Amino acid sequence: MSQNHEPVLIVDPVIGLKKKLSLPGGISREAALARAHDRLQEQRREAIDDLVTRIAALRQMGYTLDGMLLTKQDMSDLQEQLDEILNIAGTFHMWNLVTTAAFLYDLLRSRTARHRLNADSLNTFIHAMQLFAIPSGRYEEDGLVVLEQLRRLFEFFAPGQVPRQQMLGAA
Amino acid sequence: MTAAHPNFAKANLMILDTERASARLVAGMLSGFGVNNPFLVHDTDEANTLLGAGVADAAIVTMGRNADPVLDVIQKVRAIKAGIVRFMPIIVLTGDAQPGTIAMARDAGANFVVRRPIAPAALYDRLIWAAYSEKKFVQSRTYCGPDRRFRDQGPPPGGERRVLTKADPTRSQGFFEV
Repeated sequence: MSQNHEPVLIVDPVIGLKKKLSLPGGISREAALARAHDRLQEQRREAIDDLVTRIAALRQMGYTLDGMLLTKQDMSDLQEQLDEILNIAGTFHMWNLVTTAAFLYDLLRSRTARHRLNADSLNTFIHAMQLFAIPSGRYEEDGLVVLEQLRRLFEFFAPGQVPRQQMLGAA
Repeated sequence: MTAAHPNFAKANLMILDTERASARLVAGMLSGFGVNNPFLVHDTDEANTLLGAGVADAAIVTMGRNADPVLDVIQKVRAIKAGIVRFMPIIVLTGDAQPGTIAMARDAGANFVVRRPIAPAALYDRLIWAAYSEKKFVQSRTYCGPDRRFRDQGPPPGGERRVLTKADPTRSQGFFEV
């Protein structure tokens, strides 16, 4: 039996980025990372304002649902927002908020949980996210208690499933 | 492998992210590395135009829940015949780092797929690796992108080599046993 062999070309690539990076006058990795950290810290206030706005929008959505089961479109919209919240909160090491958002994100991905989640349960997670987005840290000390309750709620909706591990942050 | 210290000042980097807040965070990191005014684009049409014009040296693209538009951008870059645009490093950021997602991005020709949030060190190291690695580039009818095969560097140090024993009839040929 004959086989048609696909022609494959293997080439040494010319990487334009390499040429640019090789120009004199660069800075060390340590200096670059320290400066990147500083730039992120300069953005922290604005990023947290963005988080608060996003969570407020989620809360508004939760109220609008008024106890009904979530539609597929609702869940998709929620996941997109949560993905952004996870990214921004993770970048700034807001672990309680990351964990809460990850619980909800994973519930929305769970086939078992998807059919049981309603607006009331959704709002429980969103309220917790609002508390944890407050930068004063006022609610941080009660965070473990709240997270334990959310974990139980997670297990109720998605029995036997393990929530993902906390993600590594950036700043 | 690298020059004395990498100089990002002249590098043109494109950030594709539909979310402006997340794009700004990546831009902030790049600014720290020394990149001057990275291109921030928020839709794939704009990205295709910019990349097609050949003005970017590397791209950092965020792949959302709908991966198709971003995969399309990557494949279009890899298919550009003229110049060296098709060789540019492309780093994919995603919050949904499922094996299927990673495979799709790599099959489209991404150099790296990294889970968000990305730390500055992770971004820096991948950019450097993508620029200076001596990986070949594969062009075929179904795939254009970095060679995904690992170089055979022999067994890891320490320990003994696995040796081939007589074939086990219950297993396929080539079964190795210590």
